[in-house]
Amino acid sequence: MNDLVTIEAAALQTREAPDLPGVPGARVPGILTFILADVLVFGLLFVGFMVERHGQLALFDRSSVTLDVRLGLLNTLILVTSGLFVVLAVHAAREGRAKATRNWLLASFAVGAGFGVNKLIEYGDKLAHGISMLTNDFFMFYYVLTGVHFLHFLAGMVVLAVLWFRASREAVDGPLFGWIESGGLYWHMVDLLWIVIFPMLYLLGAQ
Amino acid sequence: MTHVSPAMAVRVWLFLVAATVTSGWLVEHHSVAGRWTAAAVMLVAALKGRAVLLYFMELKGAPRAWRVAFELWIWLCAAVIVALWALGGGA
Repeated sequence: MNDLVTIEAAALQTREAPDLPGVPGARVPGILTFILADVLVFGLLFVGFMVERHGQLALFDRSSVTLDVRLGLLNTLILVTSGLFVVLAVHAAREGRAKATRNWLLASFAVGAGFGVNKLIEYGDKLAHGISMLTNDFFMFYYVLTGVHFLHFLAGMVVLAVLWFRASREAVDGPLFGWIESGGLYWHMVDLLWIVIFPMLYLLGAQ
Repeated sequence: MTHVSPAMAVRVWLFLVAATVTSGWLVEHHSVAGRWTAAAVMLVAALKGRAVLLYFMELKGAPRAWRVAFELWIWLCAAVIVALWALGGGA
């Protein structure tokens, strides 16, 4: 009986102990595990792309130069700026400043939306020129990599919107903080992946 | 642990913006880095990814294992991409 009580107490302590000192909530390693697994899968796709590129160098480089580098650069700037705003939202939440948290989350969402608009313009332009997944192996990888990344982006936008909404009803430095921090980490992953995807798809073939 | 201050976050953002613009500039002025352009651009990308990991994701202050795992990931990605690029004869 005594042992059971001890185990229960230990389990409770494990569950409630902050995973990072000074950070309430125990969700951070959970989201980090998810993010690591996710980026590892993307890593395999990067290797797949590079191996395939090695076999069809001329075709991959010819296809790569048709991509709009400036649009890709703009999207990088959008994501890192949106990422900064999320850092500021988490910082405000840690200090319990609800209004500032919501404002930064909204700014992050608004700037981040630009990425979606640009991506839709880019897909529309490619499709209007008859370039689809079936055009060649380069564009198969282009649509799969940027498409799966786009789905991550959309999920991130939903997370930002939900956090913004919840921050109006709950204390931002209470249990919600763990969600804000985890949502922020997820949003940075979207940024991180694009930082690799963009040069690999758009810039490797630069002449 | 110490968290990344807003001022530090802004400095990291400035670095990310400058690095992104530099990548674009290197690609548009291909003669600067010549046949090493792609390798230079991937190195810049790895440094950008590392900055996001350490400062935006605050892995700098996280348990060491997390930092090592993610840093390994970004450097491995860049290394494999550059290695396979070089194997294909570079640009």
